Amino acid sequence: MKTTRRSISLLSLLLAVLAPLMQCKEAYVSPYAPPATGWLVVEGYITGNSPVSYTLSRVAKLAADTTRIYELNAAVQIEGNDNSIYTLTGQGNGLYVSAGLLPLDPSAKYRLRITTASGRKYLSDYAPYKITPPIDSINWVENGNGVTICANAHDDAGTTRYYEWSYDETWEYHSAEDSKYVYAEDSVAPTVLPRDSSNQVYTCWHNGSSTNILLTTTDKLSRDLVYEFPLRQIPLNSVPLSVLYSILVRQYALTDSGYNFLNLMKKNSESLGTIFDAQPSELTGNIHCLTDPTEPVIGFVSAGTMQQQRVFVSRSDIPVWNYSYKCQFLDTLVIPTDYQTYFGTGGGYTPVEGKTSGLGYSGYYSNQSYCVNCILQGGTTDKPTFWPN
Amino acid sequence: MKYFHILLMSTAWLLLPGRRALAQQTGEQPLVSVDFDHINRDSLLRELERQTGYRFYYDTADFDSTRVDIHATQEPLAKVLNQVFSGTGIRWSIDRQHHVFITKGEAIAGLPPDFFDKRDTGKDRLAAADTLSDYPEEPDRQQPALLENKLYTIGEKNSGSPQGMANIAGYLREDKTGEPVVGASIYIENPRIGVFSDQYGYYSISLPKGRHILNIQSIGMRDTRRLLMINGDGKMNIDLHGQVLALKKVIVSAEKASNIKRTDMGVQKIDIKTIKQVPVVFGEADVLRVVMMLPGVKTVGDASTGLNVRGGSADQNLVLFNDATIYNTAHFFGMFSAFNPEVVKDVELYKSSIPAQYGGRLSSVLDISSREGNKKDITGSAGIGLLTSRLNIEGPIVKDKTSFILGGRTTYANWLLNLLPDQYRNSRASFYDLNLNISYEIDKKNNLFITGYLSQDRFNLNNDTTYSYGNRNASLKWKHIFSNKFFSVLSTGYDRYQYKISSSMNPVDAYKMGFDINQLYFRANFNYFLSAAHTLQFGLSTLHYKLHPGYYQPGDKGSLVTPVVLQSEQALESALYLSDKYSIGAAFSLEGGIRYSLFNELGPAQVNNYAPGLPVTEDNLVSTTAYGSGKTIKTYGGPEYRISARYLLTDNLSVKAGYNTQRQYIHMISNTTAMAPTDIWKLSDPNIRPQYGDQVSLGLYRNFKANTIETSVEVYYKHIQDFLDYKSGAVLVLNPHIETDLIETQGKAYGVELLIKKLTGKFNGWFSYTWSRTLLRQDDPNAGELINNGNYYPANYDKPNDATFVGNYRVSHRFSVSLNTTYSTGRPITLPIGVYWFAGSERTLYADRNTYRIPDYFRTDLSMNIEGNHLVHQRTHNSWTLGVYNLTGRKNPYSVYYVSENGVVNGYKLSIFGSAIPFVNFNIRF
Repeated sequence: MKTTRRSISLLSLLLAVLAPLMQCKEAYVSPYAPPATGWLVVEGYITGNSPVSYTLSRVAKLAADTTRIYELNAAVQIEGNDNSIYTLTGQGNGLYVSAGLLPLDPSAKYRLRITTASGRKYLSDYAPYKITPPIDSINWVENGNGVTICANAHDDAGTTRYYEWSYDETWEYHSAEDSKYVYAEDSVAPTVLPRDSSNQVYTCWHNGSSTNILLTTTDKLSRDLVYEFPLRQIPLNSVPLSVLYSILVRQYALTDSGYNFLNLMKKNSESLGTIFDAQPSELTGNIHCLTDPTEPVIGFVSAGTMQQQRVFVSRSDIPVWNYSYKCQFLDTLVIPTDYQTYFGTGGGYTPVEGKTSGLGYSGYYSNQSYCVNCILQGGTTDKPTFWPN
Repeated sequence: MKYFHILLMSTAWLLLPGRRALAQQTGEQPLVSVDFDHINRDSLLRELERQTGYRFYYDTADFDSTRVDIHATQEPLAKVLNQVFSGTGIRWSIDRQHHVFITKGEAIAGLPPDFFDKRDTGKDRLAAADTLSDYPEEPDRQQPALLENKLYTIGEKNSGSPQGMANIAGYLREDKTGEPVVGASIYIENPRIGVFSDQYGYYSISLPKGRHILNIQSIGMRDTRRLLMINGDGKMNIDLHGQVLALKKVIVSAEKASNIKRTDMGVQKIDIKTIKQVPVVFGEADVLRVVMMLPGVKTVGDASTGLNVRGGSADQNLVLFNDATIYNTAHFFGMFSAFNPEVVKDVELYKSSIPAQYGGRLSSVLDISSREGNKKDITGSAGIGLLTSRLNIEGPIVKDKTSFILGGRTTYANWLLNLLPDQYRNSRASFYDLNLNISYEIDKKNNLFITGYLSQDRFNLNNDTTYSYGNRNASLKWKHIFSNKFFSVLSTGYDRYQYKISSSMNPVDAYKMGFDINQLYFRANFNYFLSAAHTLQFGLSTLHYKLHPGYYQPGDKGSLVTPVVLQSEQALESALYLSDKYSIGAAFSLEGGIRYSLFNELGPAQVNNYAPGLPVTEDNLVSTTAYGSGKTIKTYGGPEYRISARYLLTDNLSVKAGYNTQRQYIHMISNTTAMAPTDIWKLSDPNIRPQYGDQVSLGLYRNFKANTIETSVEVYYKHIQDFLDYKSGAVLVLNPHIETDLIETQGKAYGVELLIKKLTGKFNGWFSYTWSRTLLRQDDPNAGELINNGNYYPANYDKPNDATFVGNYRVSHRFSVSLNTTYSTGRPITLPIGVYWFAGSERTLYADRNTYRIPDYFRTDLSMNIEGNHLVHQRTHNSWTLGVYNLTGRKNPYSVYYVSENGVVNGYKLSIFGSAIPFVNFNIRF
């Protein structure tokens, strides 16, 4: 039996409540030299309704600037207990993907076999193929802290019980000001030209993915019903809902041991670390190293159908959402002799509007590039295909 | 002892023109009828008073303890009085106002001028004490001297042989409040014979017949003595006078050296006065925080009241509050301890020589006793702090017979929560506790004590999840004295601890869950002072447990939560014990005890059976067996040995050794670092064995400067078997097969403790240093997983170096400064050994437990106690306590942890009190 997701951790949270008065949290840099590990990390989900993809990487040393170490050139296979075998092919960056949808049998069990380029062999336990019920709805709830995106699902057969979600999110956002001009970097004759629409930097889309492990169980409920499971908390008046927000939620059914594995991983890495939290502990999955049985492997192979749903939330859907730009408007007039200084590399300014005086533009009202160029806030000007209008 | 039977007291009596009265007057006297065997004179005189309507004036100190047989029918009063006092040297006289004066030696016609002055007029003296110097001797020079120089004759002069031993027993009481004086030393110099008063202030001493000077010394009390002429067994109650303040006078005393003379070792006692001097956070005197400053006692951090005594876990301490077991000793996230300082009298910690009457926990017994209440006057006190307030009232119900003390404490911490950011503003936290003690002296041989304790904590977060927990305890204790040498204490009571959690955040998951533990106990303890060399203690106890390990139920109507109620657990824990304190000559004494404890787990229950020889996992569950109600499921038991010996090398140097074994049948199940309010307790069952521990210890004790400085060094080595630890990812709440998530580990703990203590004088306090290790091991591959490859790993509270200084300097009677400083090695933690990427985020990987340490701990606290003036005749006395907790503002890490936030791993160091925290407290006594 599992603890409910909210019971104990809230106690920790209450301690965090007292934080401003008593607690004091500082960054900590371990004085200890981390040991070398390099154990294999396996992440993915065996499913028949989208291409199967697995990512292989290695445990890295704990340091300020850790870079992800991918496991390349491994042979990765999915094996069914019905003697079916499907091969995943490497796509670079540790990613191994099946050729299209796999014709998996819901009554079969599947496992993962890996042989690394160095010849070490790994094999997982068989995982039953679970049927994931559809997502009933993705809704949002407004509360004092912002907007929470929630998932709802149920299984009348009552066989799902353990749910996991992940999501991709996209939001449209705008610069504080719409720049109609672009600076042409030219050392001989620096000039400012009208910006064409393909080069716009006013509207951007930010793409992101879930970074938390999202899972719950209904094993304490009389019905297999998930009601408003919080997936994503959007802080009050923040940028994701400044124009239009979209989330694509994927839902997976897990076995109880698969759930326990992820739940322990979540506790070990996402808990608040306050005084009443459980201490971190060892994580054991269902993948084994055949070459050296004592070598730990991080990962748990689960199989089943995958369900997904996309929803949009517009700023106008929310009664009050006071997103404000941290920018002042048109505060700087840049005259031609200063173009290179202001608009050139390192200048930090982008022209917004021209100032006309008789013969032509005598200068440009400009603003800090951060306020004008939405790309600088981490997004892209490439409009996603699924984006409306 | 000075008991004045005066129904009407008026100072006019001192001026009585009573000279005309006739001694031994026989005139118009009432006739009385008495028929008593073996009555004491005091009771007889009262009976005569009742019959005659005359007023009798006498001092019981003038009578010895012998009893008389008297039979008279319609005889004149004079004849009866003559009969009563024949051969005692006591004279009597009756005046015309029908006052009967009974005096030693000369018969008087009225009261002697100093008769009332003989009474201890402590209040007047107190008034004079409001100066820097030691208080003047003048006002009380004569009175105690009178008592001290008076010869008390005990036993009939001509009864039995003048050789041999006689036994004297009685109570020591504080003269002003009538409360018992505990732990006082009662001794004669030659031959050196001494005893200590027990927790009721009772003592019993066997002395050779003849003339002796009986010395009585107790910390905080003025030393006194009695001249005794011992002819036979007798009773002697002695009132001691409280010492106001000892500034310049250094009390030089040989017998205060109880640490040298006591046989037991590893025992520390602190009285509430000392506790109140020690600065603590928020300024509220805190019993447990002071205990943590003793050598060999550690805690995991600032916000924990869980004690780790000599390498034991927090659940291995038996915390007794007036015989009631307190399961959760914390209020308010561990910031406060559950004991109201206004009610507590003293605290005694047994960490090595645990008396045979106690059992059931491995590491220590923390015996917290509360005061009995003032037997003379209604008094009270109140205190106001930043977060809590307390009030207590005490006084007689029947003067000198029955007293009560009622104390309460509450918090108003919500203002603190209101200062928080918006999203937390609806959070609430509160606690209260209530104490009621009634002490009733039925007669000289029977005392009854009734105690009740109630504590409750409640907090919720944004009106969502509400947590509450509390202790409830009630006990009844009867002390009966059979004879000078033999008394019994019978006690019975009920203890309960419970917690509840409820949440209604999500209507579908809204739930209520809870846990409780109930115990009903009966204990009988007997003390038999066999001879000067032997003191026997024996008794039995039985304890019935009923635990509800958890329920989980729908919180609201719309909730879909399936109710889950784990089966209750019940058991009987019984014990028989016998111990003997044996003095072999003056230098050597031995205390040996044996306790046989027996634990029966009782039905109804379904017990899981696992395949033998295989790890206890769900996969290896082969069957379940159902047991009916009251059926014994499993019996554990065995002897426990408690042995200690002392050898006196010189008058102020002794060496002691001890060995003791313990068994523990109830375990706290928790995998958090600190004791959390949601920790549950579990009884031993067929799958969970009792914990077993044994300890050897050796100590050297030396006192300096006329026993004003005590020093000691103790070393110990301890083995722990079947201590519970947890498998990785263990689920401890509402787990119907919790044994599959637990592992039994073996532990060892060893260390050296050094203590230097100065308890008297302007400057007092102690310094302690401990070096110790606590290591655990799980190396049985069949038990499930190996922890740290089966090697020893440090326990969470393994902090090898620990040094503490606690000091108080009394600048004047009204102003004192306290300082404490503590340093310890950082506790062990589990740090990640690497990072990996999973589910969109960088994450930490953990392997071996407790292989790293958090930075060392250092803290200094300062407080100032300012008393109002000491004039006695004012309505209230008040005092202020001001101070700063964590004076240096050091950010002592409570924990170090890593957390994945927005896809990356960040490391943090968390301090509970990250800055200097000032506090102020106002106390008032009335």
